[in-house]
Amino acid sequence: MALQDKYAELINTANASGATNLQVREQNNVLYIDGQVPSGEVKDKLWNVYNTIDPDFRAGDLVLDVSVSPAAASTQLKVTTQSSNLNVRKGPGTDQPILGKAAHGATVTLLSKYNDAWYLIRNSDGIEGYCSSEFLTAI
Amino acid sequence: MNLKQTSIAVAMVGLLATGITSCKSQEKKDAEAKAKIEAAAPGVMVEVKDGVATLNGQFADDASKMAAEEAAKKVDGVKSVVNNTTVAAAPAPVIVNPDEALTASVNAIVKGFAGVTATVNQGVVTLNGELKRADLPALMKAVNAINPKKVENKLILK
Repeated sequence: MALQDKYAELINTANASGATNLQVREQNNVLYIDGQVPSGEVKDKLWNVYNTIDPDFRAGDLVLDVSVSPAAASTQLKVTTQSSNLNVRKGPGTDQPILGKAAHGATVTLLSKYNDAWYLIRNSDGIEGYCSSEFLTAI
Repeated sequence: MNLKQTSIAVAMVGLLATGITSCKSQEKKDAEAKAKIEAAAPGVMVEVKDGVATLNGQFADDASKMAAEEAAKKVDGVKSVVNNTTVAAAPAPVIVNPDEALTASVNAIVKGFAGVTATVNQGVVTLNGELKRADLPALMKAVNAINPKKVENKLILK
């Protein structure tokens, strides 16, 4: 139970943030935490807690594999900028590098919501990245 | 006797009768037994009726299940115990991918992180080389998702 105690804050945060199918198992002195979380933001929060408990992840005593619940199959969104194309970025922030674009009026597929402001999408070229939700409208 | 005296006499006989059969009602005894069992075996769900204690709930192992039953039997007012508790199934063993699969997966990942190399040995993925500290979480998230046994971070962080 020692590893579960070491990472208790992480496990509690996961449960408090709506994690589902959470499995916490200890095997050969490594703790395995698996499950799903509702958003990319929650996943990042958990990894921040992990980094706080084990700075730079040096201990090698945890395998944290939480995935973000995907949006309902093929949720389609329309790019509703005024007229310009919408940037598709590597991460959820305007400081993040641009991977591609989604044209004004084009349809993109919602993969998951990072938070209320940023969505992970796939554009018609197959590029997966983050777009500002302000300019995306459900079809 | 007059009416008043008769009423008093009847009432006294009634009280006496109650006193002879039991000082407390069965309900009260059952409630007390339930409270004692709950104190002796926390977490178990208990119902006590007419001195028969029925236990429900789940335990991590058989020893805890039997300990709860023994504790309940010792409680005053418990004539017998029906143990309907279950033992939680052992968790499924952790899946670790074979080395060939891990090698293919981790090599695909490190292509996106210049300066990082990875080796795989019996499920243990070791990361070597240099990386900016800010890029480490993204790398670790990806490597943790390929079903390794363990991830060793030997990177020099800048």
